[in-house]
Amino acid sequence: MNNNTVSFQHIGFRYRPAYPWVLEDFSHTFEPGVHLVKGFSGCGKSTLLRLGAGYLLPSAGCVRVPPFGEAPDAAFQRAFLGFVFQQMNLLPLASLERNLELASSLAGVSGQELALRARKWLTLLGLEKLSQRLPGSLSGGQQQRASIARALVKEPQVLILDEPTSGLDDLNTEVISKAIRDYIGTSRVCIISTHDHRLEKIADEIIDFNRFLPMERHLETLV
Amino acid sequence: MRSSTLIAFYLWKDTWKRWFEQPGSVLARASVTVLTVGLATLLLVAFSLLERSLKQQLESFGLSSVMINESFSPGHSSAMTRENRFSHMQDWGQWILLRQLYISARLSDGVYISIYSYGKDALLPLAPLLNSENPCILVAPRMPERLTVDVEIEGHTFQAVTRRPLAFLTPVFTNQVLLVPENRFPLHEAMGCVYATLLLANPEGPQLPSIEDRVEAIEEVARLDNTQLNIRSSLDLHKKLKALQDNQLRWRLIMAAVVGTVLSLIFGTISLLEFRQNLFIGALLRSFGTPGRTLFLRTLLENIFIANLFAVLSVVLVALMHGTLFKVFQLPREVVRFSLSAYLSKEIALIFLYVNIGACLSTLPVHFALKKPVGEILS
Repeated sequence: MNNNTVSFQHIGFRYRPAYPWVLEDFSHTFEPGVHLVKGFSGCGKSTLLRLGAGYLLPSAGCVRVPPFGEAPDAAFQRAFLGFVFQQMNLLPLASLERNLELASSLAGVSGQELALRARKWLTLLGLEKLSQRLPGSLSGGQQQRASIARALVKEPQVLILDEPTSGLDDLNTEVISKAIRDYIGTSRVCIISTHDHRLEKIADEIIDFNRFLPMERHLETLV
Repeated sequence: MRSSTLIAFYLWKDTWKRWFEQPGSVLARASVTVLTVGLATLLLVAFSLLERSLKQQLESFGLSSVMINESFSPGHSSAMTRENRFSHMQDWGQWILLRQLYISARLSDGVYISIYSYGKDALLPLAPLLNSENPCILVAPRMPERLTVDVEIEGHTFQAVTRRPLAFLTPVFTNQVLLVPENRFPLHEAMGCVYATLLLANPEGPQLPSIEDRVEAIEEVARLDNTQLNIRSSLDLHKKLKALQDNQLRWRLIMAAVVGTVLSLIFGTISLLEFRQNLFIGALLRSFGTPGRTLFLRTLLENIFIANLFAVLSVVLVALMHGTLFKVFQLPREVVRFSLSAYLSKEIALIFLYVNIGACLSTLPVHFALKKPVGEILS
């Protein structure tokens, strides 16, 4: 098995035993490259991403992640995973630079490398002048770029982003798209859950998630 | 190491911010701690001081002394002679016999005092008091030693030498008394007297029964002899002390339950509410790979810090207001008098133990809340 892939094997998931299944017998392997997961709201995209990160435990089946093809655990989350949530990605009482340092130091980066990396990613995402600001004083676009910088600063093997460009203007989306594409190259895995068509141009694979669990098909009828 | 420092620093900042934004949560915990610890301190320190006072009384009486008073009048008949009445108890220690006469002596300041006569048998134990020049001794705890003073008995003036009482005589002589040799006042001795017999038990003696058994044996002799004996011993004090210690233990347990339960419930509820308010921050930190135990430790340290800080404050407050507080409850003088050692005693250590158990228990809800997966919180 290729250790550079994120593999979902016969995954089943529901939030409580009495609740309906969100995912049922889902299998897919995400090879290195950028993968867009698209689908209706509530079809289970975000759940899939959290299962891939190890933030949720599958009710059935298993997830395999780099570098050893094992289930995602705290060590994977610290060192090999960069995750961007839809919101609430930054610690409100730490400056942008501190946010980045905290994430990368948990990944095992230390000393001068820590500061160098933080500066590099803040510069690449156009945030170098805001490095000492607190997240609360930034605009939505700046916060989202900072979240991506925070995820990328530890230079993870797997990058997972949940709606990273929702509500952002074209310029911010372009900056983010470029940073992601350049970083992922051909050896790392990036999974993005999005409705945003502007991201399709950086994708190596687009997965229509509705075919797995068309939860809200009734909306189509309404349209 | 670097990451631990950064996380610790961030959590420290977060905690301060929360305290400043919601001082009510700190104040609620502070007031609960001050009230419960104050109450526990008040009660347990009072018990400790009462216990100390009783122990002092016991020591001053003599832990194993027994004092037997018996009235004797010329017409009195008894089955046993005084000599053989306690003969089977001779091994218990030293028996000292004194006779309190039915006359009194008048000091130069007009104070009347009792007169005791001592026989040959009492010479040895009383030797440190006696001197060859004047066998009349005025036993006076507060007068200078070896002073010759005039005493008047039945219109006659005698001279006596002042001495402080020996420790073992404290139960017999609570006030000033005059000690005179036997047959100094034969006529008055013949009129009757009160025999004061003091048993100075030897606690290391091989066959010394317990104080209860000793008193019971003496009472039994008195019953057989059809004699009315007035027995004074440390038994009552022992019983009082035992009752006090039982009460003390009961209150310790009650206070442990009150302090521990109240603190754990109040602190636990507040901690859980605050943890839920900061749920996203905690989950975000965990999503980076911050161990859940770090967040748990933060709550634990916060609760321990607040509980101990205000517990110390509460004890200091009670100590500062010691006299006023204890006077309100109309407690004995020995308890009302401030004693620093009472506030550095094991009772206070116990209160701090309860406080810390309560603080630790209060963190349990957070421990369980941390089991919720990050993915369910950040959704």
